[in-house]
Amino acid sequence: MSEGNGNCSLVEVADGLKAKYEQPRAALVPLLFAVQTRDGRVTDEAEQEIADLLQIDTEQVHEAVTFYPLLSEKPLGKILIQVCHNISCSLLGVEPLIDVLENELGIKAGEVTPDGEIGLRRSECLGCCCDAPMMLVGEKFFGNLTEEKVKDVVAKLKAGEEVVNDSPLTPTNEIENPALSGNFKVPNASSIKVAEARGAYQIAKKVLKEMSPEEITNQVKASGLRGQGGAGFPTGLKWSFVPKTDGQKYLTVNCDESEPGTCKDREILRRDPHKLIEGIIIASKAIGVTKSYIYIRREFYEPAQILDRAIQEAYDSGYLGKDILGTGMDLDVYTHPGGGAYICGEETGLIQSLEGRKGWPRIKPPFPAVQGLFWKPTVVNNVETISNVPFIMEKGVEAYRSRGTEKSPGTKLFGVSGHVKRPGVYELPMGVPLRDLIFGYADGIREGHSLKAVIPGGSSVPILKAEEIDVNMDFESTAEAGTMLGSGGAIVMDETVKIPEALEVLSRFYAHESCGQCTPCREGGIWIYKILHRMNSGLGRKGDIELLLDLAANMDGTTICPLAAAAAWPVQSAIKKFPEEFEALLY
Amino acid sequence: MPKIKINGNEHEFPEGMNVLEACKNVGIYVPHFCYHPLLRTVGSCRMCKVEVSQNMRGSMQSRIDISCKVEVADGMEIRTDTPEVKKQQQMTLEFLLSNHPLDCPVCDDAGECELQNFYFEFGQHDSRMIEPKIKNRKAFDIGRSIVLDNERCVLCSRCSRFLEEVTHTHELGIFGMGSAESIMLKPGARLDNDYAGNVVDLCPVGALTDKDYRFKRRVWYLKSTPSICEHCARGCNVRVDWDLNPYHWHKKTFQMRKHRTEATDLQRIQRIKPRRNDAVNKEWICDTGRYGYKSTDSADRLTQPVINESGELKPVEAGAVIKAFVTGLNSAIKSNPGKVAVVVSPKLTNEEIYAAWSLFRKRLELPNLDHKLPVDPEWTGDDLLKSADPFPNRLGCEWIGFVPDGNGLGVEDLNLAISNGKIDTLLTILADPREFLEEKSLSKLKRKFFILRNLPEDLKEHVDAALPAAAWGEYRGTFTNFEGRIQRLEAAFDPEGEAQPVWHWMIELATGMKKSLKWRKTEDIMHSLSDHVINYKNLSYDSIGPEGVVVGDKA
Ligand SMILES: Cc1cc2nc3c(=O)[nH]c(=O)nc-3n(C[C@H](O)[C@H](O)[C@H](O)COP(=O)(O)O)c2cc1C
Ligand code: SF4
Ligand code: SF4
Ligand code: SF4
Ligand code: FES
Repeated sequence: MSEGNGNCSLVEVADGLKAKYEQPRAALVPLLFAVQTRDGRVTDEAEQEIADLLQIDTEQVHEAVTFYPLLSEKPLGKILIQVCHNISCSLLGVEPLIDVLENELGIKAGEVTPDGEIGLRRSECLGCCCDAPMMLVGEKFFGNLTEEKVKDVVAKLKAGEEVVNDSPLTPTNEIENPALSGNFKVPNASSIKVAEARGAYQIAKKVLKEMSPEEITNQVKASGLRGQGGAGFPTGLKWSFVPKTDGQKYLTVNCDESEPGTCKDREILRRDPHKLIEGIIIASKAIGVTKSYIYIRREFYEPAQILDRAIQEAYDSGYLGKDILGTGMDLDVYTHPGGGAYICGEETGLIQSLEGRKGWPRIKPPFPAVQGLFWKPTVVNNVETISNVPFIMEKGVEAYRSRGTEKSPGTKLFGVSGHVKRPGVYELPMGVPLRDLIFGYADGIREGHSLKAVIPGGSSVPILKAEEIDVNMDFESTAEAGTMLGSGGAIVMDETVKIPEALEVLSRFYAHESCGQCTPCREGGIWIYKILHRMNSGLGRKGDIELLLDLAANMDGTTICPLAAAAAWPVQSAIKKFPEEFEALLY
Repeated sequence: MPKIKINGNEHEFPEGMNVLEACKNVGIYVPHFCYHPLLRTVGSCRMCKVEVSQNMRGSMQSRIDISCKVEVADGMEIRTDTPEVKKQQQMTLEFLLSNHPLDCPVCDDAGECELQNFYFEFGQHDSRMIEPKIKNRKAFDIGRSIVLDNERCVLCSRCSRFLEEVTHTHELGIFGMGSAESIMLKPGARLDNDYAGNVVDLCPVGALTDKDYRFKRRVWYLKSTPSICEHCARGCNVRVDWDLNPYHWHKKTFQMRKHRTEATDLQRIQRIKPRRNDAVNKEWICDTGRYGYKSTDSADRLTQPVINESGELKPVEAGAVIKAFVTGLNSAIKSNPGKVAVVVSPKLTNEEIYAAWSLFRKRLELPNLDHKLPVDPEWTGDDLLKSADPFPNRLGCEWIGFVPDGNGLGVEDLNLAISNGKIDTLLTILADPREFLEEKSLSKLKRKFFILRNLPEDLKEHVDAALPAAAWGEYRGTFTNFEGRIQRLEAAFDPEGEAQPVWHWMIELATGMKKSLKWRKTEDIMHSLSDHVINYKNLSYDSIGPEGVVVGDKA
């Protein structure tokens, strides 16, 4: 993710970036970050400069600048503090901490200190829910925030001192024969020497030399591996949809990780990037691609740096590049920064964004497997999905299927955040009881409190009441229980939580993250948020609940992508499960 | 061709047609905002929902889908009238209206606003939005002729797609994200391209309005007449929207805007809109064509026959001017027919040119006829619509033969011919002679006759006698465009004052010169034209039809 530095002219940066893509326009967002780093904001002149470099219109540049939350026409401050105010952080008290920040800095969120040094911003989910509450200070990460920590950071910034990453390793577990987390506790596993010593790239070597693409795809198909990005689509089947022609094809790895409650892919990037790279090599052989992009949300500064380093090492060791390990296969792997928009996690939104456009999802069909990135056949897979591939190839279908259920085989990284004693990311067999996840691995509800509700699979899925948590965490059982496995990130709430307030936080998120194309999503999302905000401010009116349900019903399944539905489900389920709390707000 | 059922009735449609167009073809209008047949389909407004049933693995499966995107497929069944379809349409409207201002009473688009129309047809709910509506820019000047009201915008992106895909100028974009997004000029830009006016036509609501039309008339007072633009050789298909009643003012604004002059109140043409003709102008026109109607009702219109009496132009009976023309022409011809030059503008219709040719060439055998007026050096064509030739009927002039004969003189020879006395009599029709004659040639001419629509103040001193010609909007006939397409113009209203179409004056003049031409209406002239000029063979107004027909070597 080279964004250039003072020594490099923008032209050189642009040339370097353009070489990565089939179409120069794809360099747009990374270039915009380069000028934003250079100038402290994106000026009209810089837009012109970039438009000229990429031979596009300034209107197209300006669209991107105004669309992506991480880009700004206004000065952001030399150091920008971004505080997540989404569900997990808000459950753990981020709002009082934002007050502290505002007081200490003497500015409101959204402003910059008068000397132009420090900017403060509220942000939607930053994908670190298990370390909540958290914030980013420039590119540095601060988790498990407390008032003291926050004050300390501000004091250092004011004194002009460097601040350093405060990102302790997220709690994880031990599991026999791990598919994903085997290196999580190994110091320095992101270094290729350490990873190789633990067997990294062995299976890739073998597969490249001994197996045909069809054999790989068939093995992945037989393993029953399903997409871990939320939709659970069978991975082998997805690969087999790619036309078996010689033309250019792409593998795009989705590391946008922005669904509130989800923070698993970040652990793979930080703690075992070579697993992902090895998975990419095998998948690329199966699909027949020579170029793969990893789309990483830009707020993952530290994980992206680790991954970039790992990729470089893999090139240096001959696992990537031309004629990999003498097998005749070529493969380039590039990382590409996201612009801070949740919708770019949706696969066609991601493709649009990678191409240098606004992340406006495309109407399907055509599906990406037929016409995706640069309108070429493209597989979009989640980081965790691809990271499962080395295990499946090495240990075989039987071993993979020996855990989990018939339809949801294998293990998965489950996140637990919110009001638990030990929030973390745990690799467990599919079908693990939700109760075990919360009360076993995450060590139960925080001291002196009791469970009230769980959103089991990332913010979009229907909520469960305390008495409903005897459900197994696999695709089928969650569906039977009227909810979904989603991304497997459980958000746990204790009895202190007012459901309408939690819902307001979520609806603020969906209203903010609508890409704005579809009428129901653009208008409905903000309307729902306004109603909830009013209700929570003591101005609920008769009819509000019916109106909320009606708006939600009309967002569900009526739009181009599922974001509008994802915004509707929490509303429907929260009102269904906790009607009395909403009724109590009506006057 | 796929056979599909729409609301129970089976029809056949061409492969690739979308369901929205298919429905339209059988008279069922599916409401929509973002879809436009000439722009990329984005499927974002979600208004055009229908129920689509298709055979999937052996059984009929139904879903609600957007008709602008779904293509017809054999065996498909469409319903536009189910309760679920109606509900989704109503809901989409409710969403769109949730932040829409209550501007209809002061909005130019009222009466032709799709939001308003659909609301009456499909909506009719009471607003359930009690939160404050999102405030946004209003009456924002974004270009020479365009005003933007962001509160009224439904974000259909038709305008920005037009500027991206058709003009490639990108002045407008949808900036921001989600509910914060709005349509706006890109930094530093103004919407001033030659085709800017089209965005107003494309806008399904009153978010983009035309300064030229703002607050002029309620649309329900307008009458429409099909016509052809007379400003270049493309011959764009247009509609003249007109109203003769000066009291049909936007009352409220009349009070608000006292500075409006009486003259603008009395304009008959209120605006020009493109008509769709994919072979000529798709559904676009350039701004020259759009705003070029003003001369029809301008203050310098010549509305009466005039004769110069001792240095002053006096209104007279038409007969007196005809007599002056006849006497003058006769005496010139008697001395030498070569002393007369007749110059017509290629703005004349085929019928008018043929009438003039019939009189001057066929009957009077004058050698010096021409139509080749010089082209305004300011005028440039482009590769979208604007032709490099700013005249609508040059090809008609050539085909009919309104050109110098063997030894005859053309427009470019006239200065020399006048200075050495070869020519002393000039008749110009719809042309200002100063465009091709030097001042001294003009003064040297013995006789100068004019047939004019407009008589600018500074031309008056040169006029001996002039007949008033009907202006654009006041006559019917046909033009032959650059590719040989014959297209019809209809008269919207009667000519101002005593003005008459040129063909009428030709008949009067012929009668005066005892060379009678026996036509009573333009159809009669077309009939003769089709009999006598090869390229117009077998043409009639009926056979020309609404799209025109291409004839000649380009057919
Ligand atoms: C609004 C929205 C956001 C999404 N965000 C992500 C994301 O951050 N990461 C991800 O892997 N998938 C995300 N998805 C799912 C992707 O569209 C896609 O299904 C997935 O990347 C496919 O990979 P998989 O089959 O390996 O799961 C999102 C989907 C939607 C509708
Ligand atoms: S549903 Fe929402 S996020 Fe998805 S394409 Fe439509 S407007 Fe964008
Ligand atoms: S201004 Fe009009 S045409 Fe443009 S997006 Fe808005 S509603 Fe559509
Ligand atoms: S392109 Fe030519 S014919 Fe068309 S509107 Fe413009 S001037 Fe008139
Ligand atoms: S017209 Fe079909 S979605 Fe807008």
